Amino acid sequence: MRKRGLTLIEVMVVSVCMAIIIGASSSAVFAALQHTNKVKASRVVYDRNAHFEDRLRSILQNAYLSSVVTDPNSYFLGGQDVVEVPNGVNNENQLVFSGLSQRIPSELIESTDDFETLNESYGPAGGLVEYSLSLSPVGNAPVDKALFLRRQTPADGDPAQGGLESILDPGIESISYEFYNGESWDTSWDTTSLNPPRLPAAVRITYRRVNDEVDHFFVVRLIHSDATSDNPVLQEIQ
Amino acid sequence: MMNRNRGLVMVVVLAALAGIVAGVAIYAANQNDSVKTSINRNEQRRARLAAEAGIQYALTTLQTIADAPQDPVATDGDWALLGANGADSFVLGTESFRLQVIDNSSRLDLNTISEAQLSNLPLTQEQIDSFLDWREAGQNPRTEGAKDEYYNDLPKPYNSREGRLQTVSEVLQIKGWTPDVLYNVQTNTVNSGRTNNNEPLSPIFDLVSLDCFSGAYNPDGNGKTNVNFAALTAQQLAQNAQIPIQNATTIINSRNTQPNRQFARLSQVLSLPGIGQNQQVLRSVLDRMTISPAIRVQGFVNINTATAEILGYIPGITEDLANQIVDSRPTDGYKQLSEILTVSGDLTFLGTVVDTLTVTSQSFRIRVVGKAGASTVGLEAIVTINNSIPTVIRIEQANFSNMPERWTWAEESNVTTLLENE
Repeated sequence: MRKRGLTLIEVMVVSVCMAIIIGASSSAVFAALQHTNKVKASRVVYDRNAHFEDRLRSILQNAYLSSVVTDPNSYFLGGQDVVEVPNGVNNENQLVFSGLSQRIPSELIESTDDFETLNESYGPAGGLVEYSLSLSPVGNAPVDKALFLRRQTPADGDPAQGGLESILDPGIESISYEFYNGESWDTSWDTTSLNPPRLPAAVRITYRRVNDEVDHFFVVRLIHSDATSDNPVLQEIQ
Repeated sequence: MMNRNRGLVMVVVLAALAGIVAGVAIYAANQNDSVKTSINRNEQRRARLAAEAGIQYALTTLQTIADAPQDPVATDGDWALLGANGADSFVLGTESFRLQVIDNSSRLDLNTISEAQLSNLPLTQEQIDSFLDWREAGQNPRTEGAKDEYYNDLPKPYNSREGRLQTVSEVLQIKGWTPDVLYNVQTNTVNSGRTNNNEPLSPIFDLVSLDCFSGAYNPDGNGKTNVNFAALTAQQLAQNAQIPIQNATTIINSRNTQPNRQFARLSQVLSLPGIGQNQQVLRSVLDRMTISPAIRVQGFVNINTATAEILGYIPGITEDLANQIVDSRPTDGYKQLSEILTVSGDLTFLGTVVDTLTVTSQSFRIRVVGKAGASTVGLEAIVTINNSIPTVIRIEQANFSNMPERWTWAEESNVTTLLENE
């Protein structure tokens, strides 16, 4: 029996089918790749914000006031220009507070070096720490503007300086804080004018990134605060 | 020839399909990563919230103690049984927590601990001297201690506290106190009073605490009689403490000859003539007298909850006595301090008892591990009872990832309690 070749119609049908499959699939792949890139970019933005918020949250959750009400090393100061920073930005919002130290690094716990060697390599650890958040650096910094975190162990009662300064996030254009007193949001907080000193129930942080057109905000509850709606912290309005 | 052509078409179609699948796979993997990252972050926060919920849950059982502060606190209380030493799970929707409540007064309080007590711990003289220098005001260090002059000279300098410690980890700032000393079991027991003990010792971190409060109540549920109260007459003392008038007169007369007309320690009363020999008076000193006006005292160790190891670190309590105190402990605890007379009636021992031990407690530690998905968060909260309300005064994140092991929790049981919305 003589083998039959392909008819024109068969060839055309196959060609059309293949054209459709290749066309559709390549456009689908192209779209998928494009979408992946878009998702990647937006994830970078989301991750950057989430990472920043998580770090700020974990720092703020440590806020703690000394059990000795007159302890000069213990305070929570927040709002506009609460502390004089050299070369500070005008009307800058700052936050300076005492808090518990963060987790002791495991390499420090496992080290068998003596006290002085550990002091030299890791600095003092534990106890009450002073945390400060500011858009202007206290010391010399490679950039003029960023969100700077200053940590001083132990807290020394001087809210303006001391300790180790680092850039918490280089891309923050503006940041402001509001403090929940149990009833309403205050724009500033000063435990030195409160008797006894008390922490706000929560802090609402509003920030904007450089070249960003929208503000982001998030709320951190302070676990060591005793402020509730039944027992609000009423600050005297200056 | 024909078959070859058909094969070629097949290859082209397969290649096209492979291309599509590869594209979809890349896309899916990317999506998967992104989802995983946000799930992890989300779980970490949910685990922390679950742990915080656990603290709130434990607070409700501590209310019973706040309602009856004069009652003895022993390990048969609801608070101590809650969570079966970390074995049970409490489930809140998709999250869960395990917890354990322990008596904070079963430990030595760093803000009241004496030099003699420190000497019994596995510490060197340098660590003891420096610790006491850190807590006390003044600029003259002990022989092996340190004041600002030393700390200001360190590579990373600072000042010494010269006041109450604020957290246990603050000791890491004190000369000679490395994290190894605080968190790890010390095999070097040169200074320990328990050198001949073969049991594994606990790390210092598990022996000490801060804010160890307890109540000073008499068996009638009222505040103990403060023998240092200047206006207290012998007659009133005899009546309040239920002792013969001549013993009361001896106590008041002796008090008036003390510096500032105050006893520095209640054990001074025990050594007065006629006091230690009379069982009734002895009981009264243990159960009904105090040397401070406060109804809440700090730094007393609860004999109902403390381990023999802790009791053994208290000067005046030998290892044998510590074991006897624990072994003779009734299931529902010693009701009054005077019940310790069944262990020993030795006056030196009772002198230690009256100034360092108690049967009540007003502060607790809540240990909790919150779990969400694969994430866990360990927290430890210090709770004290303030104005009849259990109040969290400090929450610290656990330093290690294996907290259930370090806390010697029981194996996770199958018991789960579903916590639902009302």
